[in-house]
Amino acid sequence: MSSNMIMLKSSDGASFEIEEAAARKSKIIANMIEVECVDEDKAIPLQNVTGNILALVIEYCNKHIVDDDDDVATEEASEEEEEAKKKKVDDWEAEFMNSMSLETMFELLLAANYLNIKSLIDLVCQTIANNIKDKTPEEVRKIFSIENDFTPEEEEEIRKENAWAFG
Amino acid sequence: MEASSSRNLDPARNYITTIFFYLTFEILSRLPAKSLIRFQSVSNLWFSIISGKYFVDSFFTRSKTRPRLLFSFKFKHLDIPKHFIFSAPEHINKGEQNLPSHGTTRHGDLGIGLQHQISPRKRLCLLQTWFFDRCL
Repeated sequence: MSSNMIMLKSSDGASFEIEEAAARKSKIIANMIEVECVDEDKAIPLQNVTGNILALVIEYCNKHIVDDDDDVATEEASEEEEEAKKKKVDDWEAEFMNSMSLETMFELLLAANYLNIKSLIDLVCQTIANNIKDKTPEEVRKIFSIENDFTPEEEEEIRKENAWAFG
Repeated sequence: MEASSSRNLDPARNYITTIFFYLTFEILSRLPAKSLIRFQSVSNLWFSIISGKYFVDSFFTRSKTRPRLLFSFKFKHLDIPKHFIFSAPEHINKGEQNLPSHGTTRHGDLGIGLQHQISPRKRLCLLQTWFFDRCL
């Protein structure tokens, strides 16, 4: 089953071939496969995902399908081996996320959300959270394109209440 | 960030404004308490999310499975003559999320730390936050 390949097509027309087992990481695609609306000769059009982001999604899915296979093969692996494997995945994920800008992360998050890949949503959200946790409210507004809709008095009041958190 | 703008889904062009409300929620729920308190002043929406019951509940749910300590303490010099019982996670997050007024709160020095605080309102806020922090 895992050798079945399916085609995905990005919003900008790029086509990607991916193993069905990897594509099933996306609940949306898995559902499409279940109800047999995936035609072998036809690519699945993903209108909300551009080619560069889809490439990242596929890289993630491919990596994690291999990991899942490993888990099955070494069911009786020792605790140390399990830990080593987990660390390997963590290291890969850290490097994977490290290689992209905050802008790319937001695009990847939208794609993961659209394709419904829970573990990727978790990973990206955690990485974004780590990125912004030490930033000021002003910096956060800029990153998220948020308009400050407090009156100066309201903002002052909230800041005064929580002054220690600004240290 | 407005809810209505999420309908205009075009990640390539305007990805930031199209982030769904709940993706913001997901990101916020992974932040340490100190950041959350600070980010209450980002916007009205963020203030509402962070101080909303649903968010606080989910915050605690996320931490339910972690090892916890159960302990009690009493406000000796304050106007609240009651014992408080709390459960808190066992681990400490590298010391970076502790209250600024004292170090690692592990063996009952919370009361000492809180005695240094000023207004009752602020005290309550710090207590909430301290509790928050322990749940991360």
